Amino acid sequence: MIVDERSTINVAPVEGGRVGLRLSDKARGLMDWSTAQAIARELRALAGAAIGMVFYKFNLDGAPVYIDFDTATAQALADALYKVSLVAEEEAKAERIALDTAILYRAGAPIGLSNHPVIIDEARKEAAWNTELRRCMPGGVKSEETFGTPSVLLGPAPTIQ
Amino acid sequence: MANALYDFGREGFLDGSIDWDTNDTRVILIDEADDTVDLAADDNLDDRAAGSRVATSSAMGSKTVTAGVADAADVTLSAVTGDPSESIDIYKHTGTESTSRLICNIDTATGLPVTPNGGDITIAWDSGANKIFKL
Repeated sequence: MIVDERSTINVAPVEGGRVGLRLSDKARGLMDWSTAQAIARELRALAGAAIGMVFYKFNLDGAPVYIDFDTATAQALADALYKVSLVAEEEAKAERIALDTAILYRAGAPIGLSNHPVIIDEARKEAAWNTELRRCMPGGVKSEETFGTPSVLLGPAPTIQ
Repeated sequence: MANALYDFGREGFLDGSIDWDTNDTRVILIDEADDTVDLAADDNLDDRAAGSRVATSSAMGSKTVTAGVADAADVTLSAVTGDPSESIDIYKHTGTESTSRLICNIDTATGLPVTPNGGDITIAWDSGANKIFKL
């Protein structure tokens, strides 16, 4: 088998940041998304590479292992990696998404920019308590109550006898 | 504007001072020309000028709270005379204006504004998902 080294993809461990995404960090400014951002970038690159992939090489116990792909498999792998990269990107940008969602909440447009429950929960807290938002958009979080549209029916005027 | 809860009405639901399906709640036709609604500041009925209250209903009946949706039987105001009315208030009636908590103001309804002609005025609540309002 002829090995084309250009098709070999190495995912190096990311140094520095945490691997786990800690969306539970409550205090703003303490979140470290660098690792998640790196993972998202790697996955996106993998997805792009997978489209044209005909084989994949990885090392197992020091020995190279090659996996052959047909086009459909490569495409499926690319699609799967792309979806995972989107999820990773969402988590990498969780703080920004939460803040953008908080602005919408405070403006009275309860449109979630994510369906990640932790991000939405964080957005609600930011909308209510973020000092800058409270200063720039006073008046609190607009209520989400909804009304029906009643009908006011005017009866006939009384007749004079 | 738009149909909305008074801030103090919303507060009343949360602090328990308003119990929708057991309290005596009533409907008032309001002439906004005599008193402009202030959803943030108006808390009790005495904040709506007496001259703006064109007609007041008796206690609303058949109220329900299922799934946070406030509903009630349609309300009929009998033999209404007075100024044209641009909105409807719902409030908790205690018998004392200064403690009768304003709940919501409805200015978007089919048939509003209405000019009383001495006949009955019926307020038919929406039969859709939101009924009167949904918290």
